[in-house]
Amino acid sequence: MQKLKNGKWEEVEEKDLLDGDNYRKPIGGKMVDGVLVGNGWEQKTYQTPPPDPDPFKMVSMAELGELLPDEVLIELEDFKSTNTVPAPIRQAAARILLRINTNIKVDVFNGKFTNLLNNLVTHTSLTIEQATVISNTLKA
Amino acid sequence: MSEKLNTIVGKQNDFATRLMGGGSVVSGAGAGTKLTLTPPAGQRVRLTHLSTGAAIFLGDMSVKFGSTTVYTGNIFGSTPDGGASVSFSVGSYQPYVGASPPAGNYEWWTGEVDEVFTLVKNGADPSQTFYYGYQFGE
Repeated sequence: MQKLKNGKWEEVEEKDLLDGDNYRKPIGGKMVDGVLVGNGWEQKTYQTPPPDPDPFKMVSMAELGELLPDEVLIELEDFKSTNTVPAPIRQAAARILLRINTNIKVDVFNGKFTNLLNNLVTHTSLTIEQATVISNTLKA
Repeated sequence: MSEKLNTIVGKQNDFATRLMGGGSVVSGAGAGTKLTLTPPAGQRVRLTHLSTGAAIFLGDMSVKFGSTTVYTGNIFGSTPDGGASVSFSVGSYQPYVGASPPAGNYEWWTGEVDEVFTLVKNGADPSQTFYYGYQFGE
C-alpha cells in the first residue's frame, strides 16, 4: 500500500500507518514487466479502531435524567459468556429489567455511557426508553 | 442486436463486475474525505453497501461521484427512513426497531466511466465506524 506524504505517494506497510495518514491500496490490475498496471485504488484515512465497549446486562431501570456524579461504578455481568441474545423482558410500559453483577468503571461525561447504552441495544435488540445507574458508589 | 437496440441497452442499464471489495472505516471526529474509490481506467464504481452498525448514527455525510454530490445525509444502517431525518444506507439493511420503513435505503449507486467515488464527512459529528462494499466494472 501507499501513504500520502508531502503530496507524494510512498510505499508503506500497514504497521507504519499513524492516525490521520491518507493511504491507498491498489485494486485489481496486472503486472507488466514488473509494474502493476490497469488497477483501481481504494483510499481512506487511517484511524485506530476504538476499543470494543464492555458488554453488559442491566437489571433495573429508572429515569435517565437523574444527576450523575463525575465517576460512577456500575455492576455489570460479563455478557459474552452467555453467547446468546436474551428475549426482551418487558415488565411494564417503558421499563426493562436486566441483571447487573460485575464492577466496571464508566466515565459518564466522556460519551462512554452513551456508547454503553448503544451497546446494550446492539447486543439485546431492545429499545431503551428509560435507564439509570443502580450503583453510584464513588471510588478514588 | 440492432444498432438502435444496442444503444438502448447501454452502459447505464448493464454492469459487468470486474473487481469487488469492501471493508470498514473509522470516521474520526473531524471533517474531510473518508473514503475514495478510483476505478481502473474505463471502468465504473458501483457502491453496493454503505451503512453503520445497529443503532449507530453517522451524521452529515456527502456521497460524490466525480464532482457531483449525489446525496447528503446521515448514514444510519438500522433506520434508513429517509424523509425529514435524511437517514440513509446502501445495500442490504439490518432489521430496524423504528416505526418507519427503510425509504432511505438504496440498492446501489453507480458512477460514470472513470468517475471517482468519494465519501465526505462534512461536520464534527462523533467518530463512528461505517461499512462499505463496492464493485468495479464495465
